[in-house]
Amino acid sequence: MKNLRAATKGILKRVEQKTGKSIEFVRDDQMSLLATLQIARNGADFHVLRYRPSNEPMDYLVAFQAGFVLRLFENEPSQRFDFAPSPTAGQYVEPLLTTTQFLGPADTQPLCEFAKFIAQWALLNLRSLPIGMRIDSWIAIEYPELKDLQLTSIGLQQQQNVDLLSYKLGKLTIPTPLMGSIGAYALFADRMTDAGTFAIPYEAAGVLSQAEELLDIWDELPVDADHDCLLVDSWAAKLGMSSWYTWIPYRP
Amino acid sequence: MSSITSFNLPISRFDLNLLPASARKIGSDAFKLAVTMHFAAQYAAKGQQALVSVDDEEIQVLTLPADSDPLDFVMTMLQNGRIKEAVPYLESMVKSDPSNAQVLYNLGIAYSEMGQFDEAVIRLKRAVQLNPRHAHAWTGIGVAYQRMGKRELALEPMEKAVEADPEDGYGRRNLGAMLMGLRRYDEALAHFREARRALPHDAQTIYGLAAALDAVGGDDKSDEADELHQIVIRRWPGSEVAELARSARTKRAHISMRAKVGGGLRPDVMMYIASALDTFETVGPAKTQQIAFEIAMKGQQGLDINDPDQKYTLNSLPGKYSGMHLVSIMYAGMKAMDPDIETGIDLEAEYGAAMAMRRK
Repeated sequence: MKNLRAATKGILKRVEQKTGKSIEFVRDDQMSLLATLQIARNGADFHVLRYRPSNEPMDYLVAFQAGFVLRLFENEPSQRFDFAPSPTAGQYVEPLLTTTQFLGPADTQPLCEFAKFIAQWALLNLRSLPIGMRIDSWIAIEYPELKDLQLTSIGLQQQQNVDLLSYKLGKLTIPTPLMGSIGAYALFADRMTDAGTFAIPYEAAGVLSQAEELLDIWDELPVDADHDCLLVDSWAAKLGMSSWYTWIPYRP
Repeated sequence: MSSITSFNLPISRFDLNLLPASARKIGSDAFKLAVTMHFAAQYAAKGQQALVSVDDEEIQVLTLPADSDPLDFVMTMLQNGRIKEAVPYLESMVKSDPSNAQVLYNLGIAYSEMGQFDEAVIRLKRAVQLNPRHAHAWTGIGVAYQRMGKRELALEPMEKAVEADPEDGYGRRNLGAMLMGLRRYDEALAHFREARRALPHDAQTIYGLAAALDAVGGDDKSDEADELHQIVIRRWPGSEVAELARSARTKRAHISMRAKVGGGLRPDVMMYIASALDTFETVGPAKTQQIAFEIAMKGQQGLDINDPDQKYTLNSLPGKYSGMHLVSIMYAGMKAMDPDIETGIDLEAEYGAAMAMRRK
């Protein structure tokens, strides 16, 4: 990809050195996310970074995605795992929806699908936020030249997250107990940016104490990649999501 | 961007433990005030301001830098057409600064735009109470009454607007239009003349002035009106106001045409029509339609039907024709295709006479 900053190219070089495979960029106008990275498997010659063209510089997103690959490959091969969401995770969300919200008949029809959707969303957060915060810290320390893009991206992500506080389908809303992970990320963003305002909405929504506990876990565990699975597991335990997923050995 | 610009929080999500015990009854004024104060204090502690709006279902928070004017942000919303979204914030600003005439004015206009005229009038009246020189607020009251169908109540605020700022062209224009509706044409004309001085390039003002001149009447004024109509047609082609100007010119030409024969039948027109009907019989319906449409298109650019020396040519029919001749041909063509068609000019008497003559 053209026009990447030297720092970003340096990160990509590290991915090549660490994994023995380079990254191929694929433009995808239909993506909902700005960028995703698919690790080369089953004999594939390249990792594939799909990106949706936007006006925002891609450097930070590329660096962030590359960070996940690097952290996975920092572990010994026997200690590399894939996160595998349970296909029935939605069943854990349904009680959260029905016990904390007064639903009418019109809301029970989409309940099952909404629960599945929320389960996927919560699992995605569980997998990506705590490790993503490690990657954000790493970028901030090792690549300060990406700081401006990082701050912009964090701000945009925070705006998207806070909009979820009012997200609803009929009367169905995201259960407050599952908001802890984005609350923790808001506290982390306040720490990273010195803004001090990202967590205010989560305090008002009664999420802050859970978010603080999650951030405490994040602070207390060692930062190396060896502890990434434990970090996710510890957050899951705090969020009541331990049985929603399993770890399976990584297969190249 | 390194801060959240706005967010909504359902009331059901708000942690009531953050409020004093006396303010935890959802929906109460104490609750709304406490929620507002909570966010205002939280953001103020971080060097920001928060505009907070609380209704029965949701809390809306708009954050902005401490040194900025909240009204600027809300004005941007209004200018972008996000009127419904802006209203809660304006309400919130009125609560925190009830003596701000400018905020009340904007809130009143927002309600007016949303069709909530009673709400609009209440805010706008409060604005002029605080600042009687607020011409736009007076105009806003007048417009709201007018849109409510209460024209008798609209005149006074429109007059107050002009008193408050005699140099404001829009105030003059609105009052002029109001007076036209009340058939007070001389007064309307005076205000439209002042409006034109302030707004020389405003289509509505020029058209309004022309309409007032036509209404007052007299040859000089009628000629001046016609010049203004031509300006409107030339400068704003295809606009609604240009169509109105074009209709006015057609009407004037018709009056002028009739005046030349004392209101009676015009033999020249009768002959033109008779001749055209002969031609149409020869060339057939398709060609007739082509000729009539070509003249109609030419008419869009302006045909002078009062100057017999001005000649025009057509692609679809050889020869040179005066404006009146072409209009007669077009009339005959249109009527031949559809006897009930509205042509924009009344040559019914001449058409009837020509038909009778041909039958003999």
